[in-house]
Amino acid sequence: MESSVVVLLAGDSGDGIQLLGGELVRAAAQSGRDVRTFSDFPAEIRAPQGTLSGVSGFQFRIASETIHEPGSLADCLVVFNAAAYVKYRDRLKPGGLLVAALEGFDARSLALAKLAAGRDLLAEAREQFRVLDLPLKDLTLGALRELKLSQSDTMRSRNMLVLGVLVWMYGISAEAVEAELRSRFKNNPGNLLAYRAGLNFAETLEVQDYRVDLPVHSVERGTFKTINGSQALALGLAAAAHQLGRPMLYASYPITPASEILHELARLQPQFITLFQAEDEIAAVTSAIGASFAGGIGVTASSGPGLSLKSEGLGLAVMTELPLVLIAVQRGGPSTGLPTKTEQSDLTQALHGRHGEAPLPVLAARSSADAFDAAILATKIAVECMTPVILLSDAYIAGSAQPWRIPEVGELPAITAPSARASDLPYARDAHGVRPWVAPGTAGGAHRIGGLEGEVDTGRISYDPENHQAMVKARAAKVDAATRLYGPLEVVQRCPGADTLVLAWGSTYGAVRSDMERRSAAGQKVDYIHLRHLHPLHPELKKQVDRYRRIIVIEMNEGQLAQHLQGLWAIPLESVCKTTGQPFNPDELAELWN
Amino acid sequence: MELTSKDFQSPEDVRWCPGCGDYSILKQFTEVLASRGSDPDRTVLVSGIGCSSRLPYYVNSYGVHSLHGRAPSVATGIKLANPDLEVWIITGDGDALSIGGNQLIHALRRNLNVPILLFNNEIYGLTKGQYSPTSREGQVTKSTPRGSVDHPLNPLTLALGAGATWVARSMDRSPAHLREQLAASQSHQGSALLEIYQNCNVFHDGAFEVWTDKTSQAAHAVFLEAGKPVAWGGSEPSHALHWNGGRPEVRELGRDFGLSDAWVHDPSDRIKAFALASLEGELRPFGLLYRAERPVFAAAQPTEIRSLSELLRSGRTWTVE
Repeated sequence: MESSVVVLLAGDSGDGIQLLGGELVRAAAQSGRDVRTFSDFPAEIRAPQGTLSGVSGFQFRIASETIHEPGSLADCLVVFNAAAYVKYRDRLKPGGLLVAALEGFDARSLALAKLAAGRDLLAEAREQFRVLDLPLKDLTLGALRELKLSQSDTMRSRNMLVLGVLVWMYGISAEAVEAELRSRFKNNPGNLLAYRAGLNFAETLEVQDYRVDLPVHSVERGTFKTINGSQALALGLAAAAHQLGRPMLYASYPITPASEILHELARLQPQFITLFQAEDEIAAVTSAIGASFAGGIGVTASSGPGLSLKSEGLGLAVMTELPLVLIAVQRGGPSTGLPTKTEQSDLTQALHGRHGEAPLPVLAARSSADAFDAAILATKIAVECMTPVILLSDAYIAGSAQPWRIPEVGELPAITAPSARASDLPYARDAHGVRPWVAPGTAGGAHRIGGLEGEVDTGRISYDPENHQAMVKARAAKVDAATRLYGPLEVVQRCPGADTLVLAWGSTYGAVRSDMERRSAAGQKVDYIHLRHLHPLHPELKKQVDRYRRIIVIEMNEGQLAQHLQGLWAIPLESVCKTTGQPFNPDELAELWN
Repeated sequence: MELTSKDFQSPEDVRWCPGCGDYSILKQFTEVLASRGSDPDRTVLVSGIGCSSRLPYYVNSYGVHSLHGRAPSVATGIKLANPDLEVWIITGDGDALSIGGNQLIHALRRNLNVPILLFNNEIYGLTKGQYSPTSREGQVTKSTPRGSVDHPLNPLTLALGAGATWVARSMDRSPAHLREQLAASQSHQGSALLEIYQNCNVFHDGAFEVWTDKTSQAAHAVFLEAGKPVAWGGSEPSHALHWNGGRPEVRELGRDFGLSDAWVHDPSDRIKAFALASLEGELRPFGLLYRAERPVFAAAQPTEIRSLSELLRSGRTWTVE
């Protein structure tokens, strides 16, 4: 019996693939399976239909056990046209199931996909794969005939017919999906008719041989929803503002993929968060700094080049010692690069990309669900240490979904603002090196801060050499003291007698963890630590690392963490990396090192 | 207890060059804060970078000396976090019109509820004398030893074009006029752009002398007053403007053209404000050019208030018992 299945849906941007996939994974999760997804789409909004450049993909994996990533090669590839098949055929396992919408393989489709006229792609496909011919257009037209819609309106329901086929194929509760579609598409009966037609087609005819039974996975109790990284960050910020009990300003400028957080916050309207779409990246970060000076917490987000534009602002936040959260949703770079693809290539910039001696805490989310906790922790560190913080996410986390157990508010960590006593000098430090946070409006607290170096304790302008040295050290020490807010160092996998350690960070977590489990199952002795904190590093980390003969660092860049750690520790490290804009998958990792 | 301008003096030593026009502006500014009953604990001065932007350090209130050009953004964040604070932006021609041009125009079009004091000295002073975006064609500076080839930018037409709701000009050497304009800028609900001619006696001395010097002022400076003719020349005006079908004309007052024929200043008329702001020669207007009422910038209010617990549970959820 199978324990998991990987499905890849591919078609034009207008084929409704994301909706179809989203509906399937939610229904699968609700029926007690674990799920993970991966969206792969072009940077263009509506690339020409039927062409290779217009193809987008949605991969998901449904499992009857706990999984960490959306899988490597697909067991099933659903294609809406020839171009989609050409683009993704290499991602289907040999002998896997190809579900092909027949109308997408006509002469016109072949031409759009730049294939020779008369070529029988599906016949070629049968040599490598099992092929299910799906007369999608005819079935949809038949199912919706009574509605007397135009052909183009009718065709919009094609994705729901595919949903019906897949629901039946993977044993997902048809009743639950039907109830969902009924409430969601009250004014669009066509979607429901198409869905039922898909179910019937699968049940009565052709699909029997392809049915996969996935037993229900026992999951923890609680209330769940499926969540992607952007949604998790938005909710995490709402929770952080609530826990802090002060207003939050979320200021950002549109940029892919970070904008999704803004959209999500605009939709949710959390009561403690004010939204500000700024005129540029610089205005976004500096208005956030203004909000923090005024006693709220400023948050901003960006991607790629936007992060560079904010770096001067980070310098000001470091110098003024104001709390600030910068969420960097990394994408392929440099410059405009690959705006919709994923990468971890802004790590060096996050750690070092500022003028002057300007250390600040850097942490990374490792999955969509984890982004919720990471947003709260980033805010907590920013406020409790009075420092800007960079939270690293990436395009993969932003767009991939998984089930998430919704926490009770009582489970969330407390966030405690530092002293706001007007009698404290503006740059007097507490035991952790943290200065007070005295906001305008506080009687007797009037003071001036700014980008010029300030005097120890008073913050008044000082060009004194010894004072500058002291303040540089004090700011760094304050950031180093952020480790008091860390949890215990988590060793994700420990094998007795292992002399090899894998270090990874951010969104590689799922793929690396699956790879580790496979290696362990195969008898390979290797331990695995996944870094939450990139700066300051966990105080226990070096001690752990010193126990191993061999250290392997895995990341989606050209070795930025490895270089950073070598700089700090001067020990040999092996770097396993790639920069293709695509996340790692476990099959690939198995090949990359031994 | 009534405060005096002394109560608004910070303990910092003022470090502008001796003779700088900024001293007068600082003095008039603190006097206006005191006379208008501003509260140092609820007042925030926000500046960018440059000589002008050092001013917040010298005023006893809350203050942020921020990034070059970004004072409008910092002020926006402060106002969004706490709209009840009295916030002022202190900036200069390089700060506001060159590196910070984008921040300035967007603060103006949003009608951020903040007065913006733009010290215009037509030079980069703190970096020791390069030409600025308001420097004149041909101006000799350290970076233009053979004269500037750049065309200058007019802060007043820029502000009007960006949708500013209050636009005025004053000068460092007319303390009473400056105090009047500062007070009026503070009263305005919305973005109030006050351009202040400020003499840089080190790098561009005498730039505004024709309008500030008593011997030449009457002939070149038009002091605007709402409802009064646009006229100048002394206590008995000698000249006035004529609105000749949209073409401002300078007319000598006399039998052919009397004060009653002159253009009467109406600060609510944006077209005429543009015409006045466009006087870029030896004749220049001072005082309030334009004023309009428009809602001030504020964050959108949520249409629905939900607890955090409701928010986390929003959307499609399921429960495993």
